[in-house]
Amino acid sequence: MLFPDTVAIALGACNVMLFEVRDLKMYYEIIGKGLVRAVDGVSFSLERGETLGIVGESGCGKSSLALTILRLLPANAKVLGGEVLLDGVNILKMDLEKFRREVRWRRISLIFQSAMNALNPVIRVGDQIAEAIMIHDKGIRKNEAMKRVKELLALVGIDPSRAKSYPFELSGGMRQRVVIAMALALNPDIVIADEPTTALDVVVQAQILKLIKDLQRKLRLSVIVISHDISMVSELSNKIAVMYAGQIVEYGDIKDVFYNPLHPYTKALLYAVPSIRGKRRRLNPIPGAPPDLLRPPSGCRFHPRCPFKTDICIKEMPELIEADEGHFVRCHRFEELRGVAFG
Amino acid sequence: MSTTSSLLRYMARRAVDRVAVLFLSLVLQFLLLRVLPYYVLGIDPSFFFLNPNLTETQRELIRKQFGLDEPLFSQFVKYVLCLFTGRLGYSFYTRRPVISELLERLPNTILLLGTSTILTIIIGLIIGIIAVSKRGSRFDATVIGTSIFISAFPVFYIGLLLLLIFGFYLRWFPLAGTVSRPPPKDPVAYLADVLWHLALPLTTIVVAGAGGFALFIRNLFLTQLGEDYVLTARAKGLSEREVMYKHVMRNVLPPVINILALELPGIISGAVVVETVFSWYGVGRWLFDAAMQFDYPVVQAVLFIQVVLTIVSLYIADLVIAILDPRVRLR
Repeated sequence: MLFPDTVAIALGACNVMLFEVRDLKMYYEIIGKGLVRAVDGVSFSLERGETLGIVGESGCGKSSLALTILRLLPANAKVLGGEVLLDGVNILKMDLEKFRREVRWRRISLIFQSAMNALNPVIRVGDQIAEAIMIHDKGIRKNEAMKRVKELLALVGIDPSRAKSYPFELSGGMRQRVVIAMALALNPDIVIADEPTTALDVVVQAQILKLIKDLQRKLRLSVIVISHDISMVSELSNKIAVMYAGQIVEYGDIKDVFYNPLHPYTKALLYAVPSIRGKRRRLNPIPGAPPDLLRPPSGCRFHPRCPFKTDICIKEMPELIEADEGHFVRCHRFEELRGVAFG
Repeated sequence: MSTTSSLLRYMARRAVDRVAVLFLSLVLQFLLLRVLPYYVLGIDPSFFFLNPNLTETQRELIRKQFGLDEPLFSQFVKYVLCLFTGRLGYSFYTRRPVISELLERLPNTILLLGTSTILTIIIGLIIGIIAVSKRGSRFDATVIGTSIFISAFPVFYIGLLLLLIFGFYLRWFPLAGTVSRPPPKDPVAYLADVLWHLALPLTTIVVAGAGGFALFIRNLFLTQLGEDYVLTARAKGLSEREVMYKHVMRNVLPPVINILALELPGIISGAVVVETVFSWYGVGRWLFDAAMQFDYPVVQAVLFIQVVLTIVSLYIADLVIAILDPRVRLR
């Protein structure tokens, strides 16, 4: 048994605030050019058993956010402010050696973007999962670790004998299952899934999504799903954060954001998704391109692409404010634009 | 499928390939060194006896001695058999058996090129790994700059420069040779004397090679460090050291071994230049001299050794790579 039900229920019952990101700022320094504001004042919180979806276009800073949380940033990245609290402890300030041993994988694990390359090509998949167990539990013997690896593989729906396979001997979907099994190896509190289904075909995507959802319920995991695919995120999440140009522009319960979007960018994203049941129409991409984060636009970062912009949008950066209960938005004009469709 | 059986099957397949290559290169050698000079260019072996008074019958006899009266196919069979049994003929110039001269010179070449290649690899590997783990640092920049600077010099130039400074002006090291004449009697003094002679040519090869090798290692590691599996390994909580040695090393080693396997036979061709500059009594200079003097039996023998060395070292590399990288043996 991976996680005794009684423990899961006990932890679930107290529902403590587990994870909180407060006003996080992370910039990449480009020599001779300045700072790329990849994560610029991001805040959110996550309770046990909750799933938060983070959506946004490519380059909006969502993957950088994941790397910042796990402190896996390249040398030119600088965290310039904010904190990441895990049970009230700021893990960004923790001694790196302690963080590596006590937080990475043990408390926060990662399901990687590309199932194809996330595994080491020359090491058997079972050994790669066992490694995660063994580096955090030095006392464990190899055969005990392998026993656990087989349980994990069975859990994600892979024949445990495949532990002996190399990554190239598995299909894309199976590799992604292995990556998921690996992420669960140490019963982490939080799993960050960064584009867990890209590079997989649609049928396999659906299977993987279902797997993540089932596991999340069964193990009472807290999950952060990062994707550009708003419909995929909505399948998994209770809460959603829409990111644009390094900032969260809308944040709230999935139903509120979906049925009552307040930010023009969220409206545009939802409008861009073709509907199966609605009337037939042309695809509606959002005009323009995401801004250069070296020189982000003045005022509201979305204003150059926003059909509703006024002078204040160009001059002044809006704050993220609570529009309805638990539903936040970063827009000067959200009140007057309620119900107004994009396009 | 078990690892051993798939490995054996792969190595058997490679063996067939390698034998085919060996055969092809023997045919090529036969054509270039035997058919081309005699049948196409009309160079008669009796020409090398430098005696204008040879009668036609004597010439005929010499040709017969070289087997040139037989049909080409049986010549080829004999040629191959002789190469493999060590009957390498007589040098046109020294009139000595090629095999005995080869056995005198080969240890010197192995001494010079063996030690310098091993040193080059060790130094290059260490510098390369330090540079990549401190990428962007001043050390890294110095390594890159120096390596490129040195690579711009040809080997013989580095050799001549060292010879001029440390041999001619400072007189710390001898100007030429493998050992003093007459050689010291005492074995310890003899060893010291050989090492004294070895110093400059060894330094030349290491200086010329280590920088480039370090750059190669650095760049190999650098491309691997950008791979996603490295990020996974770090996220799993492995230390930077464990990431390097448990994950990256296994992916970097196959190309390194490949390069080394290709460099091993290059020992002889590499020896040509350095041995000539330092008048080293080895195989490389011998090949060079023999080629300049149309000493066919010698050229034949050295090229044969080089072909065999190439094929054997590549085969060993295949084996090691197949053990390290399952994709090679299982695909």
